[in-house]
Amino acid sequence: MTLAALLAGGGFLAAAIALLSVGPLGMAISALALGLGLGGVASLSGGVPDFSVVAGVGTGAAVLIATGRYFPGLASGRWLLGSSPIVGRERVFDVRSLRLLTGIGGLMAARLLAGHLGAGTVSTQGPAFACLFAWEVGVIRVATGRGPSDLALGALCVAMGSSTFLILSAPHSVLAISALVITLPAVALVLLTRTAPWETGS
Amino acid sequence: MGDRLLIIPIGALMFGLVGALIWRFGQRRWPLQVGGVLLALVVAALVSEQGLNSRPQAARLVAEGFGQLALGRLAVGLLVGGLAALALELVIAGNDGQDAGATALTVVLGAPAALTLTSDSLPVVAFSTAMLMGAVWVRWQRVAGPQLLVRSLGRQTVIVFSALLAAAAILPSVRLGAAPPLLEAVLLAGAVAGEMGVLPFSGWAGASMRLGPRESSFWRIWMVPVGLLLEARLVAASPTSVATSLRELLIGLGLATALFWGARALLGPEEGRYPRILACDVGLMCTAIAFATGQGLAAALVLLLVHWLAGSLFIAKSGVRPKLLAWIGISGVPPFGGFAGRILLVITAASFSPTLAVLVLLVVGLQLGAAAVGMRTNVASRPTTSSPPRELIGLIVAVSGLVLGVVPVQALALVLGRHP
Repeated sequence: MTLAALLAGGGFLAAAIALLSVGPLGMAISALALGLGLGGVASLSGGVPDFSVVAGVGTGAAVLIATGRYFPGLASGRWLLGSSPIVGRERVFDVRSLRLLTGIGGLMAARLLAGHLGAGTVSTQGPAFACLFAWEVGVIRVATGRGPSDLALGALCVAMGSSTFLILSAPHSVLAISALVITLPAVALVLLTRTAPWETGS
Repeated sequence: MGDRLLIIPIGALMFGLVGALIWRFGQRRWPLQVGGVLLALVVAALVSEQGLNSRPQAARLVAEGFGQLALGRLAVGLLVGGLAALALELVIAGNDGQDAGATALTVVLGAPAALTLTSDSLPVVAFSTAMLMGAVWVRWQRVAGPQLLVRSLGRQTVIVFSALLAAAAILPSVRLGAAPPLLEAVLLAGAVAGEMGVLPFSGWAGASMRLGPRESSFWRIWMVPVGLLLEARLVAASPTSVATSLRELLIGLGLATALFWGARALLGPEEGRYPRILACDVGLMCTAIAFATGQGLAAALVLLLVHWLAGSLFIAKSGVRPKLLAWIGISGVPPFGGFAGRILLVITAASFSPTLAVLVLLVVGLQLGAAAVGMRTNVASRPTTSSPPRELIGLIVAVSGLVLGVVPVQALALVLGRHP
């Protein structure tokens, strides 16, 4: 197994964790996994600096989410959004089952589509697959989301997936802008991770 | 970024300061006066920086890095026009302090709107658009809680962010032929549709008035004009293979939106009729710009000016006569502004395909009917008048819609620097 395939596998695993995670601890683990997994993919073309940026944002967000329990000012979603009434909603599947089913569909779509994508002139089927799957996981989290934290995690997934692919395409000129676009949802995730959900589970 | 464009960060700082003042001291009158002076300074600086002559904005689109800020005459016109629309709203509808948060946010949103209007970098546009829409979502969530339309806006904020970022990520590969242009076009069309409130992302837009009249102003004052210019620049600056599919998608989505919201404006309840007509016109504007001609752009901009003028009258709680004139203005009856914008669009559509022209005419008919119902309800309602100065200003604004229809070319040249 080549290094590229190994790192792409790490990116895929990170996205799978983000797909199925729940609760504040799950959000922290997801941010950490996304940072390390997709940072590894970014390092394929950008080396250590790009890995440091992506992994640093993910790890930083994870640490802040984990410590948010002790520093309420960090998780100020209630101050930001106000108190939210929770609405019950019947579902045929539990939300994680729904995410799993759509995730399997997304996995197949990513597998098919990754063959048609190239990062610049470089053939990057494995890494492109990881980026694409992370982006799809973000969209799935947003579409099936039951609260603001789902939106923030979805945004982090799409930002990390897209930025990593952009880094693969143009490694030396996009680091700063990538840092900007992944920091925005990471900050949102830290702020919103402990907000009340909009809907209860089935 | 050149030294001359330092006005943009300074302007953003000013916007933030004014917004904070209004937010914090919204119950008093002096923040609005101080804020008005500060904003007038920014506007004066923008106009002196840019001059009143038309200067075309460079049609380029980059995905790598921060790109450059290009302050075109149209962008200046949209920013200044947005602020003027807000000022009109405050003058006509009044500021009783209850809506200070909405006023403050509308002012602050000028900063991300300015960034979106001036940047040629897709990731920066994604960032600023997410800030713009995200701030509106947070505001609505605070005001109304997680209603369905608020949740829809939250989701669409992330979807627009996702689509623009993904489009930026694959743009270098599309240029090299290593990624499918259709995928890029779908992503860009999704981003534009989500930002402007075009189908399939228009549920929140048509229902926004339910949250409170002032709450829907964000969409009319900033999100629609920003979406229009973004669409125009994406269509002009995309690679040809992308632009063709993008234009076709946007023409289809825009017309579907116009037909859907036109029918709902005609057949739906009285409450929220104006936002539904606005949603219908947003569809028409989207279609007009997707034609990628100067005439199409002019049609969209005339309709935008019509709604900047009329919207403030519909927000006011009183004043039957100005509202009646506003209904006539947006109905599409000649020689008002609504007619000028729509007839320009019909002519543009006819030069592309007779079928498109017939569909646009159908939409115009639906809008005429909806506005007629609105007029009838307005006449039948209990006559209420606001204070004489406000009534007079309202009448002047309503008559401006007539002037806009009579001399649309001159109005566009004066406000937005465009010559169709």
